[in-house]
Amino acid sequence: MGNPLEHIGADLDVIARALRQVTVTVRHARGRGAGGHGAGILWSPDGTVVTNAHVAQGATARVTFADGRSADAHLVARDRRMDLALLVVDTTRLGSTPLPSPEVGAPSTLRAGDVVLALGHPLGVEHAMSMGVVHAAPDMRRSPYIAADIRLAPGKSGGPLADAHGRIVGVNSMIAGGLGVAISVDAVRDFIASAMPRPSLGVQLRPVRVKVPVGAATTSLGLLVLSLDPTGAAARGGVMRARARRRCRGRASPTLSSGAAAPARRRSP
Amino acid sequence: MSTVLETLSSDLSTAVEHAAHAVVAIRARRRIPSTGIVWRAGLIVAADHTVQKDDDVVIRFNDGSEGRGCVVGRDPSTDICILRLEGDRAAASIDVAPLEVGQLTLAVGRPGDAATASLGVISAVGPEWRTHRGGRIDQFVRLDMAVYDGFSGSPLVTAAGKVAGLCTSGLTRGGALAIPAKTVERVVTALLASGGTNRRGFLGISTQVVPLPESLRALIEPLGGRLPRTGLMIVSVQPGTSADRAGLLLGDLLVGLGGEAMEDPRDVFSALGPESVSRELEAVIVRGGQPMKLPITIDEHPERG
Repeated sequence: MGNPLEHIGADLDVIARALRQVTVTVRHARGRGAGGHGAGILWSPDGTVVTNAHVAQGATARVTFADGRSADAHLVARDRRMDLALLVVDTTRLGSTPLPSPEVGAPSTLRAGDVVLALGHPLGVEHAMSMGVVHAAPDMRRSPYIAADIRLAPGKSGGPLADAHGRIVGVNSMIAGGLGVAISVDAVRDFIASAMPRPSLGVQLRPVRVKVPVGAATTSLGLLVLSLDPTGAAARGGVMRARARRRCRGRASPTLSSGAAAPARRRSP
Repeated sequence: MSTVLETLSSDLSTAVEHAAHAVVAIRARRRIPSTGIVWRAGLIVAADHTVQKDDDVVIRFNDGSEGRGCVVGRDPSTDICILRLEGDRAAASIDVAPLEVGQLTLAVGRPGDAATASLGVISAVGPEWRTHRGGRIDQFVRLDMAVYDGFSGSPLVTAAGKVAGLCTSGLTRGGALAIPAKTVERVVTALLASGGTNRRGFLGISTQVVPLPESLRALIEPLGGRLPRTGLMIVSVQPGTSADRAGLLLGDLLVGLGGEAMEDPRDVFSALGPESVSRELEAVIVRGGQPMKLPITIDEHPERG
């Protein structure tokens, strides 16, 4: 067997191959030139692609996979403040070969000094990898970002940042003070959750104070139905306007956001 | 089973964690804090150019607690500053072995609450050298490492987690450099012994390097075992200084001092070390084409440090 450095080279090769499979190229649908493209992460085999908002500028984009296949994609959600965008690729014309799925890691376990790898298309060089270390252990309660001592360049935006195991921990987004800054996959999950269709009751509610005994204590609670979507689930269930709604699926609903069937509120990072 | 890359990754982060215990944040400048190292019990070493305050300096430790310290010594010539600290803190484990090209090293900074890491290799080493302010550094160590906030004053940490030097970007126009632990040890000991400043001698001249024609070299006796190829043309003499009192004049050619050849301004720095202060050194000059000797009593450098 070779020395540790050769082993590391071989390990990097394995990770680079796996990351390449899930790193896509995102181009403007209209832009024909070679410039103006960034990277993206194939988030799931159904064709969901995560990239930066500054990479996916239009309502549609052209996504090219590592094996050369390419397809049109449309924008599902974009958050300019977080610099995240969600694209869904039209997989109908991609043939029968299934798309791979990424291995996602846990950014909260990263320590300063841990090896990280970034894949992308820096300055048009496709699927180039760079290696570095975590600059500061990320604190997910304070910030959704991972700072790394790693070389990034334009074209790496939207590509994956992976740990030494090859698990994706972030989306490379910017260079700040020379440091590579990635958005953690935890924040990406929240973003996707907020972008996906959510369960809906079809009602407008307002909390009202009605004295109702709940268990031993006496509490003020109740939600007044202000308006009703006639085609919504609540209307089909027989809920009528302007009534204090005291229970939802058998549980007391003291506030709007904790109502079991109330739409999940987006968590702000 | 983990791969070699994963082992490397966890070894690096463990080295950072170990070193971070002795790495502190020093609030002694505007904007971001700078980094320092608990070098000995109760003593912090930092990069002199980052510490812009002397008393009541707030120091933040690895565990999040805060303490107060004050500057007890500065040596701008090697960019080293030492601060005395209240209370006992675990000191870094120091390794004074010479460094080698290609060694994998980390800089562990603390420009705030969290410890930060940068990875790189030692890209070049060289023999003992003098900084532009005349400080003697035992080994030239250049780093292939990115310089971020908090780099200066951070320890150069080896793969084994030992502190092998002090990182600074203040000695070479922003370039990443390390002062070897051996030099830091020496300067800290000297600063503590001298009461806070490394005394230096002062002549009071400005010079220009000029090549010596063969005809002139033929007239000069060898100095320090060699015949100088260049001399220092004196282009200014500050009134009242050692040089002025000794009678050095504009246009004199300084070729020797204290028995050593003066071929470059750095040679003058070398001759004006701490031991030169208040001593009489013999200068060899060429005036009007004729070599002559002048005794000079060396003053202490008026600047602090």
